[in-house]
Amino acid sequence: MENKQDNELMYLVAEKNTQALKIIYKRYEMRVFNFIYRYTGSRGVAQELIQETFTRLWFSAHLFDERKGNFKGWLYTMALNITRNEMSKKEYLYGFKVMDETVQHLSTNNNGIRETPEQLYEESETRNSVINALTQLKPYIREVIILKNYDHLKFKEIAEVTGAPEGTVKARYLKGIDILKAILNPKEVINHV
Amino acid sequence: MCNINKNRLLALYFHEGTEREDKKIRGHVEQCSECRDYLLQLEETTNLLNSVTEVKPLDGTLDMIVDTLPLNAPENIQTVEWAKTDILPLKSIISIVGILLFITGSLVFLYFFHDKLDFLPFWDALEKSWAGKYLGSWGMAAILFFLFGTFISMALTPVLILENQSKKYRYYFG
Repeated sequence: MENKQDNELMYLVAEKNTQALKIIYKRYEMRVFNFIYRYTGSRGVAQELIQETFTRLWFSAHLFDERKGNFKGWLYTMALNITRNEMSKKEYLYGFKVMDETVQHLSTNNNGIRETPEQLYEESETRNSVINALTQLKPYIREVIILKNYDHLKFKEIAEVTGAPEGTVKARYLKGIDILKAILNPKEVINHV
Repeated sequence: MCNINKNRLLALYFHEGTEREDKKIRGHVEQCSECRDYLLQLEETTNLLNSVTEVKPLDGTLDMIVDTLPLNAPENIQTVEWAKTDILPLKSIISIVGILLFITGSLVFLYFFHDKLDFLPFWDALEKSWAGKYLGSWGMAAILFFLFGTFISMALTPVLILENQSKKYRYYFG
């Protein structure tokens, strides 16, 4: 079953096959979790929403239709809608403060190699500044930046996921990059002023 | 100042344009220092964004999800079918009833008050009517628009409420 395509697995999930769900989860766990984390700026919220996303996937697997689009886009649309709803429901106003949890889970990097405290600090600082910068963007701009930069979706795919026209998506991306450039390179801003 | 559309630079940077278009823009970028600088800044910013490593969800998240799933979910799916098939005709019926009520109300109004508000010809009769004398023509027009809007809103309100409810169904079940 491991070798099956996403579409094939989704048909099995629709038939309530938990094994298929587990394989899909393992394939997309990191992408979905990091997408929500970068969007909300909160690891706790991301933890909560990844569960909701895959639970929703379980219930709505029968609605997936590969003729209407690929699975990745469908999953991102679902994750994005859940995140948007949650954010507006809880009235976070999309302005999170980065939580103090970053250092804790950075003690081991992705390759499983333990990092020195200096490396940890530096990485934590970078992460905090980037996540902070992202949370300062308007949500409709932030989602485009995240989907493009981290999830490597094409602009056309982002347009499908967000429901905005492709031209609008590109304009949002350009605007977001300009804002991030100003936030992440304060010296440059001062020089311009 | 270079007036090239930045979308074309984006297409080049992310390799999303056609080969022909890419070649054309690349030729321009080689000549234009402003576009080169822009692409360089774009690269710097995206590199900085990408320098952040990924984080992992808690261990055992998958087990938590699977443990909470009802394995025989199709019963819930039946509810979606109900929401889609039954609520939609109901909404249509309510909006039709609303419109019929509006038309009936207008006819009843005309029947009882036609001697006081002689509507034919419409505008002249309004101005000459007892209400028109007190409110003037603009006042009458305002009142009529207000009444019309109220009726339409009242007719549409149940539809909007039901529409909202059916969205909730779709939200929950996918």
